[in-house]
Amino acid sequence: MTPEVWFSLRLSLQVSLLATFFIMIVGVAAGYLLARKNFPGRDLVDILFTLPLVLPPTVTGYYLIILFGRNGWLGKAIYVWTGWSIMFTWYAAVLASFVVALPLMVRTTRAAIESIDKNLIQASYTLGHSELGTAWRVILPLARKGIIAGTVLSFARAMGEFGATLMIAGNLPGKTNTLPLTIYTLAGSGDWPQAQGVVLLLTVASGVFLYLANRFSRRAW
Amino acid sequence: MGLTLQLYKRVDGFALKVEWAVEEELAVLFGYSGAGKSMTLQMIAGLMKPDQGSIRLGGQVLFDSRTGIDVPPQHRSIGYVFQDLALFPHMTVRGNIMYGANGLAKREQREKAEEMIEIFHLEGLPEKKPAEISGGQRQRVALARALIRQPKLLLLDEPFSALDHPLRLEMHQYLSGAARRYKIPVIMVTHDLNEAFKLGAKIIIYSEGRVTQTGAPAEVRDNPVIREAKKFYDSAE
Repeated sequence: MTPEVWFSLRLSLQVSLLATFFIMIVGVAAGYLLARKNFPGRDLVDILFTLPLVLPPTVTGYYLIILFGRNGWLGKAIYVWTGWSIMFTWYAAVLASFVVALPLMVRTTRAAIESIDKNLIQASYTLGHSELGTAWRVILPLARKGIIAGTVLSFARAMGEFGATLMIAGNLPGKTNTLPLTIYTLAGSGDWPQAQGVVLLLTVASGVFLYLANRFSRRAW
Repeated sequence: MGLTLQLYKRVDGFALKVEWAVEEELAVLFGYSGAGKSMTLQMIAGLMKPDQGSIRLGGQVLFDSRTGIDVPPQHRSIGYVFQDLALFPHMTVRGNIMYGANGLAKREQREKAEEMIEIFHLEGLPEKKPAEISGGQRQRVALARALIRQPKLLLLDEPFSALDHPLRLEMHQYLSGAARRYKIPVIMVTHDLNEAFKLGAKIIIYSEGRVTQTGAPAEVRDNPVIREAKKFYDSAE
């Protein structure tokens, strides 16, 4: 493998790990709220957190440009304030992976929490534990299989993110060209042997991740 | 210093309207399933909100729809043994029992847990998970967990229905012992007639969301619900 491909692999891991870190925090919180709380606009929030799963990643990327572009709703304010824009940096790749992979975490966490026996939660309340204490010591530990499975799936999805990344981070060699983008470049320039190597690498890695996700979501106590 | 309550609650076409009081004694809520017994326990524990009424425990108002008082379950100091026991599957026996001693220092929790392990004869099991012990042992863990904080009231929702006869007798002894030791009102839901008559100092008979009679076992013997249940038992034997 060439140094360029090694760079892409390292960048992809870096982007996916960071995106997964944020997904764990936001995804578990959102999954918990959707599973346990009734609040106005709950259905809307549910749809918002699921949309990136069904929309073409280019559409998600388009929205991210509208939001974070230099002239975007948020992006403009950030640019005026700091003189910096996230567009076409590797942080944009993290953002793209985060948004596209987040629904997997929210949905698996939510399903795991909803399947917990309600009596266990009520028992915790009668034993004097607050809602937060119960979440921490009963709900999250019992949902942990789902959370781990969601984490692995999110990471795998982040590793494979292409469309939204291309839209907001571009395909800048040595800067934002993650593995999927590099495959696109290699195939476009007719470098089939290299492309094939990277394709195999991603396929095997994704297969391993799926195996792990299945194992964790099945494993008993 | 007992428990006094007046409850009204309507859910899905079923209406519960009851009013009763118990002292520091073992009282049995008896009746067919669907009569509102478990619902009553849930409201006492604060897990379900009555539409109207009041609940008073040992001089403290736990719920009053007129003044808007509604003490959350965490602060009611009520031990609750669920029908399925609701032991935490990811914690050990000791972990489950200690979980009930919330608010105490870790060292104190540990000491109290040891005490409960001794009282309920769980020696040798503290490091096991609930799935690794027998049904009777699980019952004892649930009782120990509910009592470790020395609650002001103990509620049991058909706790022994899954046990076979000899184990049931054994659990009856533990329960009577606990009632004597802690001197608190104990309220048990059951639809086992023998159990009701054997354990209950007082029997509160539920029928379709109403209390039809309250009294000592000898006093309620001729109640239609009891007669009906007795007929069923006699024909089964």
